Amino acid sequence: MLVAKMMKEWTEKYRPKSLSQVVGNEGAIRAMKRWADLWSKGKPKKKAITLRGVPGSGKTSSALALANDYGWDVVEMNASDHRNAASIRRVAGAGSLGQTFTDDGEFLTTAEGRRKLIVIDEADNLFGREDYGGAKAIAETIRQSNQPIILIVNDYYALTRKASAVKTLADKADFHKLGDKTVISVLAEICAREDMEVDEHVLRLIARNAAGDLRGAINDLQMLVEGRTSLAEVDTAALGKRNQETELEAALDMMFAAETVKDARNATLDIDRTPEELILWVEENIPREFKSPEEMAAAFDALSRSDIYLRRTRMLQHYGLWSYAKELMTSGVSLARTSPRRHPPSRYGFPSYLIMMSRSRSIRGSRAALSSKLSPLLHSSAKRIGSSVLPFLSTLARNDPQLLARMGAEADFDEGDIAFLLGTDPGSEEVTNVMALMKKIKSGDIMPDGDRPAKDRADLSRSLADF
Amino acid sequence: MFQARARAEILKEVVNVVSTLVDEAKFTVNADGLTLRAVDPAHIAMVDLSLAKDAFEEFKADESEIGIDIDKLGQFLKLARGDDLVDLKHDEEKRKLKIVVGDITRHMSLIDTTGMSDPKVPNLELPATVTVRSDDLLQGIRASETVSDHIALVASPDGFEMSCEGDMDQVHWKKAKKDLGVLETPSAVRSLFPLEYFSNMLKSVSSGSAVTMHLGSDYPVRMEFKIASDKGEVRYLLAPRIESND
Repeated sequence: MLVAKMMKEWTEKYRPKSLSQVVGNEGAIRAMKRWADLWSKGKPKKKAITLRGVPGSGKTSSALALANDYGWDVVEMNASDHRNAASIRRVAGAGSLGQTFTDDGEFLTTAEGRRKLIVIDEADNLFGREDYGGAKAIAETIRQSNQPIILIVNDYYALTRKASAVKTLADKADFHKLGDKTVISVLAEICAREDMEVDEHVLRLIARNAAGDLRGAINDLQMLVEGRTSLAEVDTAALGKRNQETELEAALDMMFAAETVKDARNATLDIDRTPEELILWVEENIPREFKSPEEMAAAFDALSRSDIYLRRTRMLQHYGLWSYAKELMTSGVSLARTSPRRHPPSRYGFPSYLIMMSRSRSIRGSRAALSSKLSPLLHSSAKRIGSSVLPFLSTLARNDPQLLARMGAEADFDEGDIAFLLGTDPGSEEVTNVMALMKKIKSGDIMPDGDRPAKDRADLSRSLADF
Repeated sequence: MFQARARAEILKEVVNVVSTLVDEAKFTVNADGLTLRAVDPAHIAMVDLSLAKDAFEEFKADESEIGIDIDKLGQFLKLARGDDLVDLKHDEEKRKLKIVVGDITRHMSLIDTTGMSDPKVPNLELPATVTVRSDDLLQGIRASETVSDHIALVASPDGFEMSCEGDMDQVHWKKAKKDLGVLETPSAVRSLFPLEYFSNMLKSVSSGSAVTMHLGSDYPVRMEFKIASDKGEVRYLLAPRIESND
């Protein structure tokens, strides 16, 4: 649980003690305070708050600082602890019902406003693939809790997909990426307190490299200056890229800014991406780069020609064609520019196609699993079932849970299959009901084609046989 | 330095008491014996245990701290019968505990104790004191277990009561003052506790011993009992369940 640190980490040493010391994200901090203030008037309706945001934006620090400000004890469930439904119930569940003994052995009572804050870090990342129970246990804990709870997530959707109740049970506060200036000011402050002379441009470099991840920036700083008293120059290679995207963004910038065909092509030469991936980035960012409709149309035209070559490459498995595709998506696109480039975008966007694909990954996964399960039963290919049978099954299932349970008993559906057909969460009540029904059918309590118990049917057949 | 020899049943008692609340624990040893204080991960209970050096057959120690994985120790002690002798030796250099049971020697890796908390036992004003035989209490618990997951402890000048109210059923266990070893309370007090914790704590009391409980209203309970034939003492503290809407 606790590992000895050879040297105290600066991210721990300089963790803010109070919310007033937390940098940036004023909106989120205000939301947290509003929520915490409600607790001074008794149990609020929303007993939990979800802190959402990218790594290193200050979620955990804010949670701990809040507890400190309000005189609350903290029970923290870290990613490093073994966490599943049972341990959430044992620690967060049990802890949230009762009063508190702190680690120092002080007794705190809510009658005096001394509460216990339960912090579940990386709540989107608790559970094994099979275990839907973990998210459910979190929702259940919030529902029953007598104490404040903070959930910390990178990916809100990953949590609410498994426990949609969290959406209504918990308040929200959004943490955004910190600006380079903010990161630099924190780094400078740490250098001053460590009595360390570090050149401003080194700090700027570290900050830019960290791309808004303050924890990453502080770790990088500590690694670079450990054991020295000053630092004027720095080997950036030692840092490594915190964020590969920044490298790609720089290349895109060079490509769009290129004045010659050669410059545009060379801009992306060092980028470790296939043309298939690069085209998505270019596509996403053409509208950010070109404002006039004519330019945009010309750019997309070049891109579409590039796409033809990508398809030919795939069809013919002739990768020599990639070079034409690449040429068209870089130089071709940059040729679309007819007027000088006045307003380069401040930030390039991540391909939304990839975002959508990753969001729908689990849904596509369940569809594939269900299709291949049905394939042998329906004497049809999984592909065909996926495209033309599942929509009908889904409609049937939604209108008749009985029928769904009977199909399920036959084809051995699991929670995921049923949730997919019903279009709900695997942990939802509907799914649980159907699963229960399925179990009954399988064990023979209910015959598949009616509610009649098996015993009656046996009587019936015997009487028929008597004839 | 720490080197000791003890009967296995005594060490098993210690493991039972501690494992109720924590998986890993920091034992402090000195010339007089061994002590341990720990708060459970959910921060609702505490244990304070001390074992005098007389509880051991042999005992030699300088002031030091030993971090032990309680489950691991418990598993290993299962190899020993109650009256077997167990030898313990702390190897500070390799950070291991050498344990010998009969022909078996185990070198057990220790847990780093830096950063492990050092709780003080809080000074709580608990007006009521009651002493009950552990077997009686366990019967009351057994009766309650299927009814609800929390239990109320009520001490009044004329008796001591455990009551458990579920959605459907209620169970009451009551002893009049004349049937109790000690019952002192200026007025009636009542607190509600998580049944599972209370029951696990009681289960680590050896059968036939007496348990003294100090109680207040909506306040923690302090349970005290002896282990290792009166050569060791345990104090458990359990925080009450929050009942009101605050």
